[in-house]
Amino acid sequence: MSAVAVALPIAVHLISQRPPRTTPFPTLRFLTSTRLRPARHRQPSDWPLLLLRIAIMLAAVAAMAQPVWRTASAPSSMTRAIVVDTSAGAVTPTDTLRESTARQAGGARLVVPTGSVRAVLPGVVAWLRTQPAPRELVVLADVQRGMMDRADFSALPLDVRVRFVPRARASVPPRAQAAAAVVIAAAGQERLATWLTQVQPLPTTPARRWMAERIAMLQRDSLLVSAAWATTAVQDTIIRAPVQVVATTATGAPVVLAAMITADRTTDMGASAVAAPRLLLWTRTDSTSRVAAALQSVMTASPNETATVAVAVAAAIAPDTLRAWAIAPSATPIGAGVGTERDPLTAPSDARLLWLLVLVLLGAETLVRRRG
Amino acid sequence: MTAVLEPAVVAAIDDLELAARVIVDGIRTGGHRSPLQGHGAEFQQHRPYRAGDDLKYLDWKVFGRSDRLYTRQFRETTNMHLMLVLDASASMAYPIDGPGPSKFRYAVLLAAALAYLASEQGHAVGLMSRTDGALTYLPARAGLVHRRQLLIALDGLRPTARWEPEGMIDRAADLLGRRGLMLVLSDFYDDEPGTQRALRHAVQRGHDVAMLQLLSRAEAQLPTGGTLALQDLESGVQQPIDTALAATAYAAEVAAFCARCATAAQHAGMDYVRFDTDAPLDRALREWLVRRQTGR
Repeated sequence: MSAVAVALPIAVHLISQRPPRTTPFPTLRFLTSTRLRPARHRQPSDWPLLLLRIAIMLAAVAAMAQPVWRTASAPSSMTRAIVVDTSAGAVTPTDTLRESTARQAGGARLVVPTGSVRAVLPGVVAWLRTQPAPRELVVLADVQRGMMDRADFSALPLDVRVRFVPRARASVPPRAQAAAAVVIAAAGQERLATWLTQVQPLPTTPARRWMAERIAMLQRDSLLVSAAWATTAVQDTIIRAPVQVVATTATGAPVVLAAMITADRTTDMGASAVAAPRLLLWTRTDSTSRVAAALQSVMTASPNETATVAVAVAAAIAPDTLRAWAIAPSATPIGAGVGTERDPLTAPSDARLLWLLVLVLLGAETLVRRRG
Repeated sequence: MTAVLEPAVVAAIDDLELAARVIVDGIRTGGHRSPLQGHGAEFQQHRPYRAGDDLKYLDWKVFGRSDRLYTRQFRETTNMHLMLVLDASASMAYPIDGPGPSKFRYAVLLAAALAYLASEQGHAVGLMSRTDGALTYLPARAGLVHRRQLLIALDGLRPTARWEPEGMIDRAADLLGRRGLMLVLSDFYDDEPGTQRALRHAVQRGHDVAMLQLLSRAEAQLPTGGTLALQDLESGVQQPIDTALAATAYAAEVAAFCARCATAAQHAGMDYVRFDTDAPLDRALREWLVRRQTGR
């Protein structure tokens, strides 16, 4: 259609160059005066007029397309609740957190930083229910398995849009990336308990949180932990269980930690129940020597136990799963502010400005043609 | 009440003599029996007043003495010589396919009416024109036969090519001889300076000169129709023009031209009248003759 819009005025321009109709007249003496300008020859060199005509056609075609203008700075009347995963695997620096929420917020009304997305969802949903339409829930997280599932969003009203914004893990410290959970399957609880009592208790809270985060990263089919375990639940488990420092640095900072995991859960993502107590070891160092030393110490304490070592790798929720979870509003918006959201399919377009432009260009074309 | 003779109706009369008579009758119906007067009219006799006589010629002194009404009659001491100089150039053929007569047809009717009127009053009438390159000349003579010959000659004229107004007017002034009345019927488009020069020369020779300018309404303004290629009827030159753009200036140029003609005539001591070829001929001719009679 744009090609027609450009070709049509060119064709008209050329067609209009046909010789004018010959009319007999008694004398031309009054037409030779400099005050009388002859007819403007519509030669191809009459570019300003041709370009004006092309612009008129293009503006008319654009207006008929009924565009809808979208601007990034346009304020949105959308009510948003943004849940930001602040666990180490997601967005660690606070500045990055603020920057992310600012970009995603726009007209956001509620921002919830949390280390457990699932834990805060009920509260966020309750808040959204009290807000006017249109409403949206945005989840900024590295969307790892176990963080959330479809059931967590079932309580949302039907007109609430849900979006997932996967976050990269680029800010994770290299040492943390290299951290691995060394899993040792212990055959007997007593021995492990005896061994654990010999280990110093975990001295600092940050270290404990770090351990909890590591557990959340475990694969679904890990030897120890179900991937559906929520970070909070595991964290609670860790807190309940004594966390022992297995190895330290020269200055005494813990580098290898150990804890006994005895809880198990089944979820809709598949059950991987923990049938027997497990001992977990965490390390912040990428030095396999320390891990080996920790293992050695454990093995030494329990020489008759069989150890199975597995390296846990963080697993993210598949993009297809996220797309399936993403909810488009399926009901008519309710509450105050209804109809303020722009629906590109039914909202009126901004073609009026283009039609105004067409009128202005037509006036200009008339002026240019008359001046010729 | 005088019926208005539409130019188209009069122009449709094939017989030029009949058409001239119709026009003259139309003039006379208005009560002007002797619009063309010669020079040096002399009292001849009294005759009893008859109904319809011009009251201007009533002898009131006689009425005061005798209580009777008498009309004074005059004798023309000079048999007026009238020379009709007719522009038969191609520009006079405009408008070609209009509803009314062309300027040339109008000029022929006008000349015929004037010749008819003058000859009825006993004046000598002559004709000079040029058509198809050949000069048409009839010396100024009186009489019915001559009038008929003149009308035949008028009928045979056709608007072709150009005419040379300066040479024609000079020639007519020479051939007119003694002081006479020279009526030049033209649109005066050609050779404006030369025309004015020749007319002034004719006035200086003692002739009574009148410019009868004929213009149609169609040429007073440009035709509508956007961009047209106007073709000069005389030279054949074409000029493409945007009629919408040039209309105002063109109309102003035409008006200025007519004003120049009138001014030049006034300065030279000539009579000037413009005939609208779309207006009734008899009315226009009567108005002009009355104006001449009453001293303008």
